[in-house]
Amino acid sequence: MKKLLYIFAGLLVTAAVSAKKPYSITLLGEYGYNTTWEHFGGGELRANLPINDNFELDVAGEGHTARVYTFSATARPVFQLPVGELFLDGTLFYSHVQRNRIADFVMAASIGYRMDYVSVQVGTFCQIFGDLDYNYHALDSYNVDPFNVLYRLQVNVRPQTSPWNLYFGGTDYTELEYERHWQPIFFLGAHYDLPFYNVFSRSDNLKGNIRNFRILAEVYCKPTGMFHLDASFYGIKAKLGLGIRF
Amino acid sequence: MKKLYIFSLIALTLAACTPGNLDILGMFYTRSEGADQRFEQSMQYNDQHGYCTITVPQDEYHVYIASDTHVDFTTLNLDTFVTDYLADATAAPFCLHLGDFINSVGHYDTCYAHLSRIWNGTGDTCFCTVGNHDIYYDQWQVWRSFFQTSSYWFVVQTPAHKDLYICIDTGDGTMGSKQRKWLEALLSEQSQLGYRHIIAFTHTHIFKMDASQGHTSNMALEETYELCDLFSRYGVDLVLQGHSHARNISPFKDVQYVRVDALEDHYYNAFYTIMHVGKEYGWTFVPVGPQDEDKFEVYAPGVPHL
Repeated sequence: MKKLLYIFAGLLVTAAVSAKKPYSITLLGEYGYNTTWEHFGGGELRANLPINDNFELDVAGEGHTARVYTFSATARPVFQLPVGELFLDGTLFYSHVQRNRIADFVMAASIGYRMDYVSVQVGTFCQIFGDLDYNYHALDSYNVDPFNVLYRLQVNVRPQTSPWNLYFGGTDYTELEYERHWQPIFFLGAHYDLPFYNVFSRSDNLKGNIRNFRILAEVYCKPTGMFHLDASFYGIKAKLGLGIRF
Repeated sequence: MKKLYIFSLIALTLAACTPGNLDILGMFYTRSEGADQRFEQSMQYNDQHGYCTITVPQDEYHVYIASDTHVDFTTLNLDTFVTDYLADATAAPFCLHLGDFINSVGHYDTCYAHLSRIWNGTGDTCFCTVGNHDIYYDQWQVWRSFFQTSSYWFVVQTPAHKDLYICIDTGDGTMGSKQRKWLEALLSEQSQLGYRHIIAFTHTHIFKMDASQGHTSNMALEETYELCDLFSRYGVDLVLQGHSHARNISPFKDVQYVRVDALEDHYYNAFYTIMHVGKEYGWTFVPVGPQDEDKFEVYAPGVPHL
C-alpha cells in the first residue's frame, strides 16, 4: 500500500511539473443577504490545479458568519476540440450548516462545452441532507433528494483568454452552493489580470507570459418562486477577491 | 430570418400561456403581494379576530385534508370531499385545505360556493392556506376576501390533551423574513405549553425526493435548512404539505413530513387524506373520481378502513 501511495504521489508531482497551464489560487471576501440568514459576510478560497493539459482539479472552501462552512472538490478531464473544449466534471461537495445542525452532501457529475464566448454545462447531482445530531438507531437521520438536474450557462463579453472579461449567466450551482434545479442563481462577474508578468513561475514549461495577479468580482442573485410562477427576491451575494496564477 | 422565426415562436408560446393556466410573467416577478406583505395582512386579521380553540370530544380524532383542488369550471372531487366529510359523524369539527384552491384566473366564487357547505350551519370549519395558483394574476386580495388569513394558529382541545396547529404561508415558495421571525417566536413560546402534538401545515413541500415533484419547486435551501431546524428544535412532529400532487411520508430530524395528493378534477390519481390523530398518526388516502378499482390505502397498522 505504501509503495502504491509513493508511486501515485510521484506521478502527481511529475505531471504537475510537466503541466503547461498555470495554477491559480483565489482568495475572496464575501457579503451576502437573504431573507432567512439576513446579512452575513465571509471568505472563500478557490484553487484551480491543472495536472496536465487534459486534467485539472478544482478545490474550494468557504466560511461565513451565518455559521455555514462549505468545501468542494472537482476532478475535470478536459478535451480540446477543433472549436472549444469539452469537459467532464465530477464533484464532491459538503456543507456543514452549523447554524441549523444539518449537513448537506452532494455528488455531482456533468458534461460541459466551453467556447470563447459561451460555456454550457448540464448534468445531475444527488443531494443528501444529514442531521448533525444523528442517532445511529434512528431512521430519520438523513433525507435524500436523489436526482437534480445541474445546469449552467455562461456568456462572456470577451474571449476566455482575454486579460479582462465580463460574464453573466444562470445556473443552479456554484463551487460552494448546490440548489435544487427549480431554484436558479443568476450571476454577473468580471475579472482583470493585472499587467505583472511572470513575477513568479513554478516551471519554465508554462506557456507564454503569465499575468500573475487577477482581480475578480462576482455578484449572485437568487430569486425564489420562479417555478412557482410567483417570483420574488430571495438573496444576493457579492464577492471580491484577488487571484494568483503561477 | 431564422432568429426572427425563433423569436416569434417564443413570443407566441408566451402569449398562449398568458392568460390561462400559467402566469408566465410571474416567473419574473409575482404580480401579487409578496410574502411579507401577505403576512402583515394576515396578522391584521388575526389581531382583530384572535386565534381559535376547537373542542373535540375524544382524545383520538381524525381530520379530513384536501389539497390542490385546482378548480376551473367543475368541482366534482371537491364536492365528494365535502360530502364525505359532512357525512362522517366521527370526523373532527374541522378540516384542512392546503392550497391551490383554484387553477388560474377567477373561479373563486365557484370554489367557495361549494366549499362553504362546510361552514353553513354545521358548526364545522375548514382551515385554509394559500397556494401558488391562488395568487396568480394578482389574486391574493381575492383569496383573502374569502379566506381572510394564511398565517395563523389554532388549538385543538381534547379531554386530556391539546394539539397546536400552525398554518404557514408559502404560496410563492418562501416564508419571507417577517413570517420566519413570527414562526420562531411562536414556536419558542408555544412549545413550552405542553402540547401533545404540534402540527404545521403549508402548501409548498420542503423536500424533493422523487420524480413526482419534478415539476414543482421547493423553497431555497437556506430556508429549507432553517425550517427543518425550527421544526426539530421546537418539537413540531408533523408537517403537512401539498403542491406536488403526490403523497409521500418521510421523517427527518424527528419530524414527519407528509405530502398529500391532489384533489383536482380529471386528475388520474386524485385522493383526499384522512389524518388520524392519537398517540401516533395514521393515514387513510381515499381515492376520488375515476379509478380502476375502489381502494383505500392505509399507512398505519391497526387503523381501520372507513
